[in-house]
Amino acid sequence: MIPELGQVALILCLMLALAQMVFGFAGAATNRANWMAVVKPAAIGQMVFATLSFATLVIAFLQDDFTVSYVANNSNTALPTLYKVAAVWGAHEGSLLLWVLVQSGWTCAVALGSGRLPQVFSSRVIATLGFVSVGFLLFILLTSNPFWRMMPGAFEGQDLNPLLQDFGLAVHPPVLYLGYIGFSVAFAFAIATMLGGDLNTQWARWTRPWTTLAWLFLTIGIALGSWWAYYELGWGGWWFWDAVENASFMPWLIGTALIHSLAVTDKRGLFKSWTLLLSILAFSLSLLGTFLVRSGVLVSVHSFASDPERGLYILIFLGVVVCSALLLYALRAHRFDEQGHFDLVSRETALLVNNVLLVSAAFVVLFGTLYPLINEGLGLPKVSVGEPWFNAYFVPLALLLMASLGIGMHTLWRVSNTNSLVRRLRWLAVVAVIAALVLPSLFFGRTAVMTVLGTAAALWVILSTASELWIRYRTNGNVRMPRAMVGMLVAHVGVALCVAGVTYTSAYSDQRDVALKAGESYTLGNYSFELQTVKQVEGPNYVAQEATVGLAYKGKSLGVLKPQKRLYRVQKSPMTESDIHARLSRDVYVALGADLGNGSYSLRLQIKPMVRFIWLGALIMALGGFLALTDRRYYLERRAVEAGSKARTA
Amino acid sequence: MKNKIDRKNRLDGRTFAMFTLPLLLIVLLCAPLTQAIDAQTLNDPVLQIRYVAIGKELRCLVCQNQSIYDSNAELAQDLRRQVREMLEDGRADDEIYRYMIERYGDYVRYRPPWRVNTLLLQLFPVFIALFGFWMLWGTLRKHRSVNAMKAGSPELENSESAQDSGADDTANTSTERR
Repeated sequence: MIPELGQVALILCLMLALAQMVFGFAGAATNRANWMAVVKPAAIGQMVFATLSFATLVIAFLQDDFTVSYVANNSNTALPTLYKVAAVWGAHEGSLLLWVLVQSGWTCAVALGSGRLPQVFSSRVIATLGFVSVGFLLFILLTSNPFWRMMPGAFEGQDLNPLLQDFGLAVHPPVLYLGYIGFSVAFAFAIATMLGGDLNTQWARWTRPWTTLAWLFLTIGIALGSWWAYYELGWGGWWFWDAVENASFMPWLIGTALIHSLAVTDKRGLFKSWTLLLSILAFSLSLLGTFLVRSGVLVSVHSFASDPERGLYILIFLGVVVCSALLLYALRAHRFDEQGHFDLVSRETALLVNNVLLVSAAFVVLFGTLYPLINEGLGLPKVSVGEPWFNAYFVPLALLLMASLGIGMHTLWRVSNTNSLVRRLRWLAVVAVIAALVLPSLFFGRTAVMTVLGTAAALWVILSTASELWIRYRTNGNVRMPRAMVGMLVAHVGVALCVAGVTYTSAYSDQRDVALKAGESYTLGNYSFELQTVKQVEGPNYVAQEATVGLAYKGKSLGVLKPQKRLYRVQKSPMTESDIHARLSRDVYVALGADLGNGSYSLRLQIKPMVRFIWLGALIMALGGFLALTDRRYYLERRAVEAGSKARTA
Repeated sequence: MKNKIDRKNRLDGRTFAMFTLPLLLIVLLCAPLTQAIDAQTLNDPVLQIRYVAIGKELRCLVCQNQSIYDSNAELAQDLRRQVREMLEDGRADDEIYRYMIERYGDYVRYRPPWRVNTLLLQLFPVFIALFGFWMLWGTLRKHRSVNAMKAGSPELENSESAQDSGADDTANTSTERR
């Protein structure tokens, strides 16, 4: 009974989304206030029913209702409760239901938060969001219904994929979705702007906090995914340039570009059409990512199965969304052309350079991800595009980005004095380069070109940020500044830390696979590992071999690590649970491998310097985003906007 | 987005045979949930470093985007053994790659080759970046102004919300909440 309620709620959701879409667009087109008045309650209703529907699926999981085939396929009575909840979005159907829930959440937030926007504009925004919801709701109801019953029900569930039985995965998809789908808000604002054809740039200011919020979630989501892959997939890699990862990285790159170009549009009224295009692109790439992951065109570490019917549906939906948006853009963009002036050395130029580099990087990643598929589709010999290719093309763009970032932060709108800029920055550059030449060899005893470049880039950005504060302090006697600016500086420091982490982990990781018997030890660098015991342990739904490895640094004990090799009872799949001794400066990572017979076991030992900086950097970027979006100017302007638009219509 | 296994297909015999079965085979062949921990190390540390590097650049052909170094599939173990033997034989990295590519095609190596059919792949990033900077140049020319020099007032303008600082300051804090 309860799953059927979920089904009904989902259908009601679809009806409300349709109402939202039809009355929103039609009402705005014909300027009927009573039609437009429908969208807000419809959006709230959609949220209510989406929540209800999602809740029924959670209940089905908690009650072990194995007559629901999705539950039977992804849960088990022995599955811990936390993972029963996480299992709701552990596979295709449920993750789409999560998508719908998150989409309705964003829509509802926009509906409630847009009270002060002109009604015609906000109706179009919500109608566009309704359109996206309709697409996904139909997708669920037609091809991927999580409430499907099977008769007779299963006696026992097939359990959740063991890889997903983990805290990182429990939280990773919701956060990632908040980011992905958040870009639909910027998309909807862009569509509404183009439909309205209003030449002012208020929409840029309205879009900014929403875009930043979506970007913030996506940043955290990607970081969580990387962290999860690092400890759960078991071989200590934090980024694989896997297609599924790229699927989330491309919208992030475009989203980052969008945040920056929105700043120009908001402040200076420039690059309107470019910003609109980026808004469309960011969400299109989110949808493309969904297509890649959900359609099964990729067979990768991360996504195992799907079916072609679903793929076709998403492809068509993607085509409709992207093509109609681009058509609208082609018809309307020229209206947004503007004549503003700025000098060659100015913040506008710096942000343009940022955009060119970020968008190029996104297209490089896109091309590298799609190329093998296109190649295969054309029947050409298969080619693998892996890490070496991505690194070769992405890293130079990233380094250029870092170089221009340090300069860009010190530029002014319209025009900057080149001489004072050079005077300000030249010593910082010298210090960064010298330090980069010296520091790696000082700490690690060896160095390489990439290490020097990475260190220089990170130091350059950090020094540049610091000098911004210093100059402010010297001229004003304090470092007070608007929140948005604080957020900008913080986020850039985050980028620098992330780059530093990537550089040092890549250059100085040490890794060894060894065979040890109980009582034997192995020394790797300054660390020694002693295999003390290996014993059987029982988990709720698995049995495991657990090794106890004593860890010591230069003879001083750091305690024990307990990596496991698990065998999940239902799925019969072996899983490696690594154990990590984590410090900010380095991770010591131990994974247990096979029993080699005669009492010896294989172990993978790794030392990964500064690997935490990668995720820490990402979190600091997200913090920067949070600070920026709490800037009060976004919340003050609304009154002025309202007055302004009234004045215009009068 | 990640890691969804869709086992609904098992209910339907035809779908199962067509899609799930081959996939299941791959999964079984590859056992992708365990990573390889290969205690076979080469005695010479320099060779060992090369061994790891080569292992990470060769693709396990029966797996889902895993290198032979990371995979536990039998094929991967076999390829690793071959790489080890060739290294101990004193063969150069290039020779090993060439040997693998002759046997398994370009697909086996994660670093795509420079060939006529991969020219587009290798040159696209360069094109896209050049195109980007060309667009940038066009935009800069369009917006370039001669007398912009007079417009800026550096100290004020350097703040992120400089243009609005007036509005910000005059606004009453009590009106901050909508």
